[in-house]
Amino acid sequence: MKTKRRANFRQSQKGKRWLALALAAFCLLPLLSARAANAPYDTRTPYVLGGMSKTKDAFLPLTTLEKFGEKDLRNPDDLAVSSEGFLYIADTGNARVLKSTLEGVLVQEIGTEVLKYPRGVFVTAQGQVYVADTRGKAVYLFGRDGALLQQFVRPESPLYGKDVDFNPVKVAADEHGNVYVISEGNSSGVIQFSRDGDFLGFVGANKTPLSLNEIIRRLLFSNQQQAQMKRNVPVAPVNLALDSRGLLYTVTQGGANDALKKFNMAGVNMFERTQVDTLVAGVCVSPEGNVYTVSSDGYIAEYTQDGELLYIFGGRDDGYNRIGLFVSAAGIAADKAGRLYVLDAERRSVTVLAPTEYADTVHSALLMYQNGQYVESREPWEQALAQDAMFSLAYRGIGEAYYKLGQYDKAQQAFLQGRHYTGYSEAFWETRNAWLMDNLAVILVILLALYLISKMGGLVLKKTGWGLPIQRAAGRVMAVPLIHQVAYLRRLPRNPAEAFYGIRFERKVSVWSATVVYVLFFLCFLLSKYATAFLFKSIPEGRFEIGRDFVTVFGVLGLAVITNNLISSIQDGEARLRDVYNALAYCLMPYIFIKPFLVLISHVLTRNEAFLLGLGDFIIVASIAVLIVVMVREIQAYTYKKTFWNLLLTVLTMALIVVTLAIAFILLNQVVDFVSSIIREVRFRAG
Amino acid sequence: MRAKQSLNMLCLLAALLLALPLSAASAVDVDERMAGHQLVAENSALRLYADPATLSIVLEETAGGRRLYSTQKDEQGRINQSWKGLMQSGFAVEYFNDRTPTPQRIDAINGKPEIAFTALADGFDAQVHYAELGISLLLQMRLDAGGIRVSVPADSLKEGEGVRLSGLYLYPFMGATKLGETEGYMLVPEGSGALISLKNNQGKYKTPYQKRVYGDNLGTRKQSVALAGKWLPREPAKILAPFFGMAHTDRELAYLAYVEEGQFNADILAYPNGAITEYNWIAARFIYREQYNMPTTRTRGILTSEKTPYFRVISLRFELLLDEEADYTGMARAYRDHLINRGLTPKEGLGLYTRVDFLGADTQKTLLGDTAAVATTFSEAGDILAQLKANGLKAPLVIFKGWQTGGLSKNLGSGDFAPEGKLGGMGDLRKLAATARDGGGAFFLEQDFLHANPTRRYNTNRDLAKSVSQAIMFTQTGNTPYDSLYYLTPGRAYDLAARYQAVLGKEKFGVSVDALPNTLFSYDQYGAVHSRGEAADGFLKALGALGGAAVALDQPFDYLWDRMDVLLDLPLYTSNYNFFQAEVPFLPIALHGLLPYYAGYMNFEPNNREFFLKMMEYGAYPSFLLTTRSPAVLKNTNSSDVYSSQFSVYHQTILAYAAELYDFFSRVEGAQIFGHSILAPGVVSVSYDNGLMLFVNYGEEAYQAGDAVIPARSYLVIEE
Repeated sequence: MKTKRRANFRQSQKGKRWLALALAAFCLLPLLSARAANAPYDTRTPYVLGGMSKTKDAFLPLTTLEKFGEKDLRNPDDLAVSSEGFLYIADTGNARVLKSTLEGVLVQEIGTEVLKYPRGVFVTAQGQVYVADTRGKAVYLFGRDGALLQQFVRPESPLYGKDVDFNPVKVAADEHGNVYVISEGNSSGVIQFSRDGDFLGFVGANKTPLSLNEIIRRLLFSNQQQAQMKRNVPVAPVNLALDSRGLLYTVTQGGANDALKKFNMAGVNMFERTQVDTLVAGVCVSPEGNVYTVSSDGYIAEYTQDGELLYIFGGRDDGYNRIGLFVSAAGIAADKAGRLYVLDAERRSVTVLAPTEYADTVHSALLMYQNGQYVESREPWEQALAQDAMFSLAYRGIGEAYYKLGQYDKAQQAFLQGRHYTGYSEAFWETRNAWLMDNLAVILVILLALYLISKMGGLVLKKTGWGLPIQRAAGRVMAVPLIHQVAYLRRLPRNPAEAFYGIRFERKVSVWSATVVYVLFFLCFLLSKYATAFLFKSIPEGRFEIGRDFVTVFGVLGLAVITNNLISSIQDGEARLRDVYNALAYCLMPYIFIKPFLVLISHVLTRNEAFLLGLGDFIIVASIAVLIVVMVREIQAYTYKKTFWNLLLTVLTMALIVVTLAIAFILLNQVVDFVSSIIREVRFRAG
Repeated sequence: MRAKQSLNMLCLLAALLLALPLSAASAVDVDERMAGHQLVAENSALRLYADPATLSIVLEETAGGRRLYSTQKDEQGRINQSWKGLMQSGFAVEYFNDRTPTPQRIDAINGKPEIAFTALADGFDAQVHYAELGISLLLQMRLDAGGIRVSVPADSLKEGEGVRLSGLYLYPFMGATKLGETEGYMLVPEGSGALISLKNNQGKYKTPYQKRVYGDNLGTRKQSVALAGKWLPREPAKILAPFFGMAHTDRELAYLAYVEEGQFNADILAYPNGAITEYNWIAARFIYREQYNMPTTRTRGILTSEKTPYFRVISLRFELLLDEEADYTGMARAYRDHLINRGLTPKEGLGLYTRVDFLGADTQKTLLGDTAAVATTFSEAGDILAQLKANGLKAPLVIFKGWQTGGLSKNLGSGDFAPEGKLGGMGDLRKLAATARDGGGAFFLEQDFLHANPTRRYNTNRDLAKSVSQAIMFTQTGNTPYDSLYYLTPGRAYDLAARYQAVLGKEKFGVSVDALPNTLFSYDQYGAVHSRGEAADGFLKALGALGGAAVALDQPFDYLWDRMDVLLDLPLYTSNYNFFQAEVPFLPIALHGLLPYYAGYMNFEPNNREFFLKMMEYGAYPSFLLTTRSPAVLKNTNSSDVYSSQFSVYHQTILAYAAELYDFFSRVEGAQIFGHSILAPGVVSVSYDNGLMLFVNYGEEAYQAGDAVIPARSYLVIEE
């Protein structure tokens, strides 16, 4: 074999020459940067059915920059990319800012004489560099040549606060020279300076949610006591960014829904319900306007300029230094080509991530969409959809395009595919409207005909006697005791008190019929849970938990029956367990009568008419409540006062039983755990 | 006898002393490393020197006198005793004692063993004994014309009371270099092969490459469960074959090492300088016992080591490569020879340059129970194939997945091998196979014999693989409705394969086997722990039960390579470790022309062009996963991560790829990849032994290579 190998070698002398050349090239090359072309992470995007799902990678890690010339980084804390294509790194531990090319070739060291502990860096379109120096207690402005031009120090203004320190950690500046500074621990918001260094005020303060605990404290405690308590101050933002229009973005750690904020000129947050990582550490806005955040455990998220989540990727390094994962990410920046630069403080490196062909498609569609070119954006959206058939945002884009073109049925389809409720609702309103317009006359005629038939039909049947067989058949069916007893449901609306009296004393119903009613109730429950139109459905599509539903429904009902019977028997109630069981079933009548109808009409309603369903539900709940009160009073022969006491006690006891069961379960669990651990231990030692 | 031996040794020493001045041309430190070594064996190509005290060796080529050392010179005070021992010994042993949870390491210096050294005509035997610990082993070194083979027989292993042998290193510092003293690289079996530079890293890399051959052992590994909202990184690639290498390019000296026996529980370690020491070293660590978490309560456990050791024969081969062979392509060619010697017979060229997979149905839940969500019926797949063929697609490799009753996920582990009714009957399936084979294509059904759907009842002793701590092993799918799947025992996998053969054997479809070829675990059954080697034997037997059917294996471990006709999903990429200098097509060089191999699905690649070029470079055929319907129909199934597969989307791409690749692949079919070189970042050349030369340029700018210009993001084929 070996000889053959050698022979092959001789055979291709020319190949050898190539090889030699290549080998030389290989050895001479400084070191081929580890160019990764796949990702160590999965990229996820919001799924059409809720949650997140895998999609094609939007960004792939390209390389890491670890050395800038001969310089290493020490605890770097921030980075910025200029429009001219230079990378600026706040090399915090080395008290300097490094300027390098985007490939990591060192260009300049900035502020080596001045800086003490620079934790934030920002570069303007003109190449001027702002540096937030925490220990220097100042923000410095350096010119292109690295000369110190200006410094911003603690404002003297009383508005700034008497005892408030100035420890700048992050900085940004708009094109008018307004400077925005985050000072460590300052919860009043982002400090704003004018070009001349005058204090303009605070913007973008976080709010503190007022907890129940806090409210009680404020009500009860004296001022003195309150002063001694830990002050409930809002969390300060950790990082900030400005977009090309000068709008301010902040990120705050802690995981509330508004951790990423975008402020308009009036200082009002325009983002709502952005899903942001609890450990978010950095934010940047790409020249195209897309917003990127990075969390300190390495998850990178991309949002549209409207705050809609596009992708999440990246992640925490598993200890083996994989490019594209991070140990302690501190900042993120984007360049003109759409590449991302992520600074890892612990690894002391910058990882470069490049957008993929797929991301380019999505970004171009998004750009048109955000510029209002809905119709033009349809094609790129469709390309994106070809690559991810469940890409929710693309469906919305296509839906909007069709909506703008007036093709509401197609828009409705697209919105349905992408599960965009608002869009679907609007498109549905249009298609329903069009349908009604087209068919109004026919509908009216049909309604009229139905009315006439029902009026005349009865008359005709009566006159001719043709109705008799039907009546007789109905009579025979109603004569079956069980059906007759179930049909007793009809008696309730007329006079509930009388009806319950019948249940208690006249054996109008049986345990069997009550059971049938419970089953009917359960079926209606299932119907409402799984068959309501998707605009109003509470459970995600494709999910079925019938076992759990069964246990929940019959568990609650059973508990209610037993508990009420227990309470009533010590309160001298007259009803037996059987009566409570039977009567409670018939209290559920409104649900069985009304809910199916609500489920049905939910399919022809848009969100504008959602109140109809709400109204229906309210009627159901209210009437069931009334029926229960009447029922208890009637079958137990109570006064109203006693009835309310009885019901209150029932509810409390139910709660008590649930809590007791939970505790018992936990204790039992502990015992099982204990015994099993002993067995395991014995087996392990013996085996 | 003893007197004669010492006389021999004296002679050797004298010879050595005489020989020394002859090689004095090399630097002084070279001599230092020779100290204590004596000539033990010699043949026309190589001389083997060994130090009887440490068992370290020096391998010298007779023609040019270049030497490969397994030891490093003594640097006083720079390195602690433990590392010094590892660097200078021919072996190291790890063991657990009752006192500390972490393994202790001893070697020829630390632990002060008695070593009985017996020189033989072609090497030496060394009986090693640690009196205090009661550990002993026999190390056998043999020299041949190509290199050395070092082995440790299973029955030579002894351990004292309270001592549990856990690991063994053999010649860990073979060819190791310090900082940037030598130019070259280490080859690691990552993906299809990757290189770690021997350059001075200035302390840039703190962590080594450390990976279990054939993937982590699920039987002892703690199951990692993703937290809500936080996703785990992608699993790093598994090592498919236990090889590694080291090339000193400036000296044109290299070696390829591969594990010949005992590979079923071994780690490959590669330390770039800066990771703990200043040395670049690469080695295999053989594992006898593993640590695992023995749960004592539901939430807590104690770290303990396995009671029964996995003692087996261990054999590691080092092949010395010189001159033009001393690079990664030479290593790959040597590995190819090894594979052929081991019995891998070249498969007749099938000429199937495009793989077209279909996804039939997967399981979704409905109000009334589970049902199959249909993405492609058999006849629809037939129509697609007919259409593709009419438009010029020649002979495809067709694999149908999700064809089973109930759909892909629900069927796992059921042993029910009837086709799903909604997809069409057996008649339709036969018709599809005929359409696929018409004009030279091949038809396979995909079957996973290893995973089991958790909603079915199993005999947990007979059917389900349990970890060493006796917990049922599972894998997380990350999808609904089945968020985890169990593993069947190898015995049960065999049963299923046998039943499959009984039901479908007569149809003569090929079988594409998923999961089983790239999974190995030690497992507990009826209270007895079975090793990964036993699992491998079981899996081999299971594949054997498929009779003479053509077999396609998904990213298979090398112990299965001679059992397959087609290799699927050859890894084209590595797992992004930052110390990698380059990804190289080691496996393609070793395998091209021996058997056809296919890249992963093109559907899920975000950069199509780059992936296309990578397939060209690696000689891997393209793969597509198709459905007739939009994959959105699978959104409520475990296949919901198939987010792009509709035929209408890929119709033109398949034809375009096939047309573009057909010419090239038909010209290199059956040929060996002979050379591969990186001309510049993102520019490579690949030469085949039939004189064809391929240049691939991944970059954004055209590249001038001699007289030829390789266009940006494109390739160039030259006939030599």
